[in-house]
Amino acid sequence: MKQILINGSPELVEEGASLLVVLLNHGRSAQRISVSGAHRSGLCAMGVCFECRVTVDGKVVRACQTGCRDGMEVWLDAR
Amino acid sequence: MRAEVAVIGAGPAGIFAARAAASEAQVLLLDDNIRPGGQIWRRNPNLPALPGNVTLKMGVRVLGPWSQRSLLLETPSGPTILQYDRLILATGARELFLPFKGWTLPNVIGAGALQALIKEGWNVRGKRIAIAGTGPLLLEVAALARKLGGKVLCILEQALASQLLAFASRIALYPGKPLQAVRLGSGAFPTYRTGSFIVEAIGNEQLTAVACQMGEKRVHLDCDIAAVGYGLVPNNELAMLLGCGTRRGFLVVDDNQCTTVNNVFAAGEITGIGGAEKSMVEGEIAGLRATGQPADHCRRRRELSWKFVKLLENSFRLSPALKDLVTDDTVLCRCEDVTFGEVSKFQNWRLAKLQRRIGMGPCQGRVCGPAFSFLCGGEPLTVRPPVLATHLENLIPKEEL
Repeated sequence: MKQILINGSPELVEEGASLLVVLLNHGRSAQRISVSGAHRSGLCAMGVCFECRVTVDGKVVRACQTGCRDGMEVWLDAR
Repeated sequence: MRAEVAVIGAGPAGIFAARAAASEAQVLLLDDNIRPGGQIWRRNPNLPALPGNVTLKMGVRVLGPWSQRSLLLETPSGPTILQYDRLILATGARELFLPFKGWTLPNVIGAGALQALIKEGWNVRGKRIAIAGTGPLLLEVAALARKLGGKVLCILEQALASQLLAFASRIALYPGKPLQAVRLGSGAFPTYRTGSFIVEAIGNEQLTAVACQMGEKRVHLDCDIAAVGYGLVPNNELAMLLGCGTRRGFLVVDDNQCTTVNNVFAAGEITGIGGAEKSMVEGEIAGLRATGQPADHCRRRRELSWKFVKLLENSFRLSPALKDLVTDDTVLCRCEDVTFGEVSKFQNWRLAKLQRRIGMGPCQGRVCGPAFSFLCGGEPLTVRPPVLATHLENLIPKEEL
């Protein structure tokens, strides 16, 4: 198991696990807030809709196409 | 980066194209996901083996054509240029999402999305799941969710029973498919409804219930997940930028899987929605013909898979009633939160885009574009580079600095 940080709190995850699945399994059912302030979560789970975008190590990425790496820092604040 | 044959997309079509081409050429196989396999073979530990002269690179996105026979790539180590002699497009398809009240709530996802997430390890044990949309995929998703402890409350198929009878009676003609259909169909029986759909997703910050139209009846179901997919649309953006001809969005190819552009081949769902068998045989033909090898032994399988394409298309034609699920205050463009009411008066994608920013967010209209076409009609959407939203630094490859 590897450790990642989600909004600052440490979580143990499997190396290479889909970050979107990790977030969902940890109760983060919304990954971002939309331009009009609504809670949103991944719709397509295959890199198309961009709804699951999060900030990983300072870069905005699609959680569904991101594999977990040891020490990864994830913030659910992506615009 | 250089490749004699570059294959874009490592699903069934791309993998079979790479394998077939590998006996005559150095092959580079690219995909933007974490692991190869595409959607149907996602997390499948028994993928067909790749020969030694196939180089597989994951997490790579094609941003667009760069110059003659070259592409701009976004890779985990930065942008780069790929020069190729021959290109095989196997970019697959995405789900068609049709908007309805509340569809933007978390835990309202695609039907294929639910399948993908479960394969990646989403724990659905004990979760109450409503499945809706169209096509055989709904049954597959339901079977997978049940196997892993999900409580599938309903499977709502928009097509009418009469359309499906024709499908069921003809599916016996396809090798392997009847058993598959019986296996999926029998488990689904008590909860499967035709001529039915989800009309509203209900919840505050996430989904708590759905309202369903089941034939004449309106039914309210408390649930945790709604998985809704109205079929598939081809990922044709790169092909369009390369100038390849399309018909109703699908790539036009000849018997050799060659597109209307020389040295560019296409295989799999981007030429027509037909499932894994079609993708494999088309991939094989593309790989063989891109490297000057004969492919006559594949012709019959290709013909048969094309009959299945037509059968799927006719059996699961979308009901016009689905257009009534959207109301003026339903969000159509999820990136920019543009409602249907704001754009419906334009009846033209370009005008709607210019006036209301629909399709101008990160997904670049991939979700709302096909929905707009279904709801309002109008000409096919245009594509501009880059193929995908990307960071500015990725538009300047190292080679150019």
